[in-house]
Order: sequence, then structure tokens, then C-alpha cells
Amino acid sequence: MSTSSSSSKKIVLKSADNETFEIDEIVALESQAIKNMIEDECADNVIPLGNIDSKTLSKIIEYCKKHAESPKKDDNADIDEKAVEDLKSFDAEFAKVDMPLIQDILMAANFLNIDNLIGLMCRTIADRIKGKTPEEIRKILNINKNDLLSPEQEAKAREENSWAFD
Amino acid sequence: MIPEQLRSETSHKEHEASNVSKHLVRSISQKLKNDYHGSVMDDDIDDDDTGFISLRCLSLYTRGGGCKVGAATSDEFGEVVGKGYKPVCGTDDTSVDCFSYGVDRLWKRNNRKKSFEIEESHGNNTMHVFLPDDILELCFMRLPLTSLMNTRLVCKKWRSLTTPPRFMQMRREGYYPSPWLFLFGTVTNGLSSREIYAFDVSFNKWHKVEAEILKNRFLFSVATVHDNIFIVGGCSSSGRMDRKTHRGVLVFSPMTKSWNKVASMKHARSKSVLGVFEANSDRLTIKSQLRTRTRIGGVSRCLSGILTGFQLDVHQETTKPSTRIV
Repeated sequence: MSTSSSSSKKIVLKSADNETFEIDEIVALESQAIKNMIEDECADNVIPLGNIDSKTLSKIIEYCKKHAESPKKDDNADIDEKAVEDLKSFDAEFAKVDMPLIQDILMAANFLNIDNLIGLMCRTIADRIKGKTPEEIRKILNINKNDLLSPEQEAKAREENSWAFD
Repeated sequence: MIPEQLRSETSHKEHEASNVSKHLVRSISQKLKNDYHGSVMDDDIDDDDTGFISLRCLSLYTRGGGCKVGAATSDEFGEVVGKGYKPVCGTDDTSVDCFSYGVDRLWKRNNRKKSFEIEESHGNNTMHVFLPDDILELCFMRLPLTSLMNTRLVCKKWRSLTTPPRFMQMRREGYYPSPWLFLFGTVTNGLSSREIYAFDVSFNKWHKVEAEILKNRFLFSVATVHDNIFIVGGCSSSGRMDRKTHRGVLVFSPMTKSWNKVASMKHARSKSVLGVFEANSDRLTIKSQLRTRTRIGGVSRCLSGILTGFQLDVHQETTKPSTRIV
């Protein structure tokens, strides 16, 4: 689809660390937030993203590019199975990053309102929590030690759940 | 840690964020539904979101000493935690909580310099976890049940996020089911066992649930509504001569392991065939899915039980409506 957008209007995104990324408008439109800005004509030629660093932003652009190129589900009925598979494996690969970056991406995707990416990152986090003990989860997500349950609360919680852990 | 002025600004922004996030949650739930149908990228979690969902509304019935099997997505806690519940997307002052600083960070665009200072200070002693509540909820609602239970033990914040009925409902509506299979009516030594066996599909694991209340009861029917399991009618006997048919309807909530009685049927019944689907004006899609499942469940002969709000009509194999519960 990159070839089909002959007009190929460009949008420039600027990260928190002042790096600029020039991308096709169609890629930027993956972000509902940017789309709204463009539609409301309040997007200047450069869109500053003061809360997204360049590392995160480049990942997000990578994602949006791929998804903008892929045929959309509702475009027509006969979706190319292969394209769907391809997108799936892209997403799987895309999510293979460390937890801090996942969270950065998730926050940025939330800010930019990219639904698919939010879903993907949430799923990734859920998958990494899945099947882990509370202690392991605390390590994975580096939970604030001051916020742990009191022994009584923990005992109560375990009691409620007891049958599922026998 | 955070300058006072900045914090008040932040909390204002958080409020804004919470409004935004409500829309987000709505659109995400919709999205999840779509995901569920179309399933473009759920490869990693196939084990808990595909294939088995057809069991949700399944109610199989077999005769005599056979087993009865009911299945449920079965994650609802009902009223588990009423106390300590706070609005999750609220503006309450939780700046020392696990994740709040991320929100600060998110909204610092106009204070970039300060924001970097804060990030740095956090980067050193705490960590990178800064997800706001609504995002955490989106993650948690995708967890299978036992994992969700574990997250409740992680920290106070997570517990308060994942226990309210509101969250559980969101999880249900987000339609990210991790079904369990419940096995009733096993027989030991010629007597109906008082145990229920629960199979966690996501983790491929069986659990045993004591159910004293079902001791000696048999020929009852089982169906699931939302996350509750309804045990309808049936017979019981304490000796050979003495056999009683029940009118009573029991509701088992797997998550709280609690039993409740609801209004009895007008007549005592055993071996009744049950079917359940939801009829709700704004949930037509789900309704039709459940219908399909009912068919898969092999109860095509039954007339449907219809649940609307708290009203449950139970029909039997005969054409005339026999009972109205509640």
C-alpha cells in the first residue's frame, strides 16, 4: 500500500529527545490521536511528542508501518490468509522485548490511541504474568515493596482462592 | 519526591486522563470482542481464548449414574470485596502507589525538564513500572482465573484493582474468557459424591471442590449463567425406600466457593433439560454466540431459559412453561 498512496503526504513526529521521524501520513493515521489532530487541522508539519522517547517512538512507527501496509479486516471479505498470518508473526516478534520497553510502548500507544498496539502490549504483559507466583510477578514488574498485603490480608486472600490452588 | 505544585497539576491531569480512559476502555472492550472473532494476533494465548468457549453455556445431561457436566467462564466473585473499593480510574491521591508516577510522566509534556528529573530519580530506586490503573486493568482482564487470583496477592493496589465486581464485569464484557469445566454427579461407592471437579482449561488442570450440600443428590440438572452454576431440582435418597424429588434450585459461585438457594420451582423436578442464553438488547452478538454454543452442547431439544436481568424463566422439555424462578 506504500506505493498506492501516491500523494504520500508526510508527517513529522518529534520525540522527547528531539529526534524527528518523517513518516507517511497513512502510517501516522494508525494513531487515532494523530488522526484526530490531522482531521481537526491542528497538526503542524511537526508533531511534538514530548513524552515519548526516540527508542519507543521508533518501535511504534515500526508497528504502525507494518499495520498500515497490511490489509484491514473490514476492507473486504476475502482477507488474505497469508497477510493475516504474516501480521500475527510480526506482532509476536514485535512483542519480544524487555518489560520496561513493553511498558513504555504501552504508555505511548495509550497516549497515541493505537488500539491494536494497546491490545498487543496488554496481552504480552498478561502472558508474562500468566502462570507465575505472586513473588515472581513482583520481580517481573518490580512492584513497590511498600504496597504488599499484610499477612492477614494475604491469608484472607489465599483462603478465598484456596480451592483453585490445591 | 514530587513538587507540590506539580502534583496538583498532575492530579488534575489524571482526572482528564480518567475521562479519556473511560472511552478507551469502551473502545477496547469492543476491540477485544472483535479480536475474539477475527483473532489477528492472539497466537500466544490461544490456549485460553479459543476453542473452548463453546462450553460456556453448555449444559449436558446424562441419565442415572452418569456424570453431569456444566461449564462456566466462571470467574465472577460476586460480592467478594465491597470494602476498600475505590474507583479505579479515580482522582484519588495515590501518588505513592506502584504505578502512578507514569501518569505524571505521561502528562509532563509542558514540563519536560522537571519530568526528566523525576524520571531519573525514579529510574534509580524504583523501576519502570508505571502503568496507570486503566491500563493495568486491560492487562489483568486478559488473565486466566488462577493467574488473576495470583495477581490479587501481588500488592494492595493490584488487589483493589482486580476484586471489585466492576472489574469482573468489565472482564466478562471484554470477552476474554478462560473457561472452566465443572463436573458434577460423580458416584463413589454407589452414592452420589459430594465433590465437584473443576477443570481449568487454560492450565489443563483439575481441581476438587467439596460440595457437602450435594451429598446424595442425583438426577439434578446443571446450567451456567454468567459465572454462577445453577443446580436445578434432582432427587435424593437416604435409604432405599426413601426417595425425594426436589423443587429447590441451588446456585454455586465457584470463586467464592459459596452456595445459595434461589426461589424454588413450583414443582419438584428431576432430569430437567436446561438451556440458558442471555437476552439483552445491547448484547445481541453475545446472545447469538451463546445460542450457537447451546447447540454445540447438544441440548437442541430444550427450550431456552431466558435470563434478563434477574429474571429467569426455566422451561422444560414440555412446551408449556413450567416454572418461573425469581
